[in-house]
Amino acid sequence: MNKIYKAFDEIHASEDLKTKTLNRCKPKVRMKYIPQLVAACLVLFTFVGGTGIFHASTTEAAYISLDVNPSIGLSLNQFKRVISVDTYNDDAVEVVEGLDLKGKKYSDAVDDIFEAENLLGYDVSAAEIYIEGNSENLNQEINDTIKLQCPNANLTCHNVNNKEKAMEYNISPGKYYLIEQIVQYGGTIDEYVDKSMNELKEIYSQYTGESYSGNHHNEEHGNGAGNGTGLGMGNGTGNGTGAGNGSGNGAGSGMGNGNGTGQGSGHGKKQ
Amino acid sequence: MKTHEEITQVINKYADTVNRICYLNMKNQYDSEDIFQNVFLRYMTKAPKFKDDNHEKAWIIRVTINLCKDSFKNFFRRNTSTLDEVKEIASNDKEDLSYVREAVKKLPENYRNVIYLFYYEQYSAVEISSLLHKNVNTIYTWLSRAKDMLKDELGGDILE
Repeated sequence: MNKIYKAFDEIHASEDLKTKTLNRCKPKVRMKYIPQLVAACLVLFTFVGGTGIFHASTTEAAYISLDVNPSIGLSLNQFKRVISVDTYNDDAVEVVEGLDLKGKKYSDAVDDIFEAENLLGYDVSAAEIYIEGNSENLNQEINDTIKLQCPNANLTCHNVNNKEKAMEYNISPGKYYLIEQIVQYGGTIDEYVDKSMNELKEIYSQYTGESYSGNHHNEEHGNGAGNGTGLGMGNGTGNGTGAGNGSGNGAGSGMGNGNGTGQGSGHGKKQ
Repeated sequence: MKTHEEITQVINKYADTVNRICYLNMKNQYDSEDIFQNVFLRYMTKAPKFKDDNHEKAWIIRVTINLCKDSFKNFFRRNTSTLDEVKEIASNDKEDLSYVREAVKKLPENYRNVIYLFYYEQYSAVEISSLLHKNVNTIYTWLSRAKDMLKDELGGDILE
């Protein structure tokens, strides 16, 4: 054995050094890791919070269907912005074409749709607007806003979920709701699915003897503009004033010989 | 991250080896102990999976040598003078070989490490070349020059 081996073989690590080293190697949360821990917590909170916001912004909180004859559905998120647009007939496709509705506030989207329908010659004043939200407050808010935008439209609000049932027939919830009212008097849903809104309203009138008005059918609450039949006061020229009859209270003007049809707007009460 | 049991086992197994290399390369006991602890800290946090014991030992030796080299990048350590002979040496009835250790320590850094690895750890020049990531011919050159220097310092019989 050479002297170099012998010389180095005499060197040993002391027990004290081993113990000190072992203590230093004990796994523990050291101060230097605290910034990393804080950063990790922040990332976690951001992730969780971000997921919440993402969920709120992509999950449907309300649905508005607009039926003139073009039948369009707007799906809204919790922030009342449009997350998707459904078209239920060819006319709707034509209207929506060229409109950029996604991400818009619902009131702006409704404005855009009505403007486009006007340009295409549809009578938006006869629109049936159906709102189905996940809370009464949300329904109310959307209802009040749209009512200001189009006071003559017929608004109905529901907390019941008609959308899913309507989807089975590929029609808008608003149309589905009207058909549901009709089938109470006769026929089946399938018979009416392909009819236009105007035709359905006419059928409804024939059955009930009164024009279709969402005000009559609100299940939860019914602030809305309503069409009322009115008695006209003839003055020879056919202009008259009429008082709203039905659930809607409104003043209207009528054309005719004494008996006229008046259009009125007013707040209806829950039936 | 290694477990506490694994660390305990590794410290017991390689403490002397690490301590010898630290002794060989460091100029004082304080720095030597510092490097010693850092080697095992690094083992705890960064050690890869080893193929076998030889692989593990080679990793420990290489890390120790590298940490010693790195420590000399520090100005204060580079300029601190040699203090001591290690405490854990020699009972009186043995031949005092401190002059041999001192002679090896005086060799240039690369030379003293290859001498230690060759004569104490019994690695071949090829193994040393792979351990230190150097050309094998370089190792032969270093070994040969280091042996000559030691013979000049200590006499011809030192390596026998």
